Amino acid sequence: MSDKDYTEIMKIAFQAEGAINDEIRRKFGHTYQDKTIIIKEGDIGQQIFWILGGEVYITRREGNKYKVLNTVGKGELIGEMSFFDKSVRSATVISKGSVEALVFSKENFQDIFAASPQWTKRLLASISSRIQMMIGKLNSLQH
Amino acid sequence: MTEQELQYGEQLRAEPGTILYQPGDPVSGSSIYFVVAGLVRLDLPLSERLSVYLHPDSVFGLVESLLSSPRLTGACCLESTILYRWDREGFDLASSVSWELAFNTITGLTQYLRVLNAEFSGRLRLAGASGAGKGA
Repeated sequence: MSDKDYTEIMKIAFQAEGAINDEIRRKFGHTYQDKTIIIKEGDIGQQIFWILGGEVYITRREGNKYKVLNTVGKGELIGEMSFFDKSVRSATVISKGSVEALVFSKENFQDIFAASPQWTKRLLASISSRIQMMIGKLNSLQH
Repeated sequence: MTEQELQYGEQLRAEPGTILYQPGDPVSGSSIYFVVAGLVRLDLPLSERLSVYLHPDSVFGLVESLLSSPRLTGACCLESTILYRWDREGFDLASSVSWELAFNTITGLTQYLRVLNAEFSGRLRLAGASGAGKGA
């Protein structure tokens, strides 16, 4: 399965879930106005963001400029790498229009898990695919 | 590890030097491991050695199981090691009842990916510097 297919399926599966009820939204939901910095490159990641509505720009500083690497939207998780492995944020994430997201911290990981144990499985599958891809890239450097 | 998590798999003891699997081995049965005690090394089959060391509470062997892929790395016990292992169904059950197991597993995979990303960037830089040197 390609990364694009996987992402598409993940989005559909997230949307199909009834797990995100009003209580979860009240407890963990945040709304960001247009052009708000949600994640800042170089910071230490303490939170993970699950986008429920709207889109964000993923940008990275290159010299004196910021380059937009990608735009991601509903159903996507952002900030998961530094959240779990305590690395510094590798990109700046800026809202593109109004964005609604669930914001979780390590302290309430249990709540994320309770809200949807399935997303941890999807996250595991996603990271596994990236590991496989990176091993492939390392192998290709040898040839 | 709680009894609740452990009931879905089995425990095994391995002597130092025990090879659990090698790159290219097919994956079947109880293929997902948890380090209870001891030390395990994962080796990537590259010309220059790249190893990841796994301490207690680490989960390994999951990537290939999730991707239905042959083993991407080798795994060897460096010390007398106590492991726990699940098949895919057992792991799914255990991780669905334990947020700690899910959290540790995701953390382990992100750390592993971070090592690979850093190694790849480092090797690219070296290749670039080497190429630049040759051209000069």
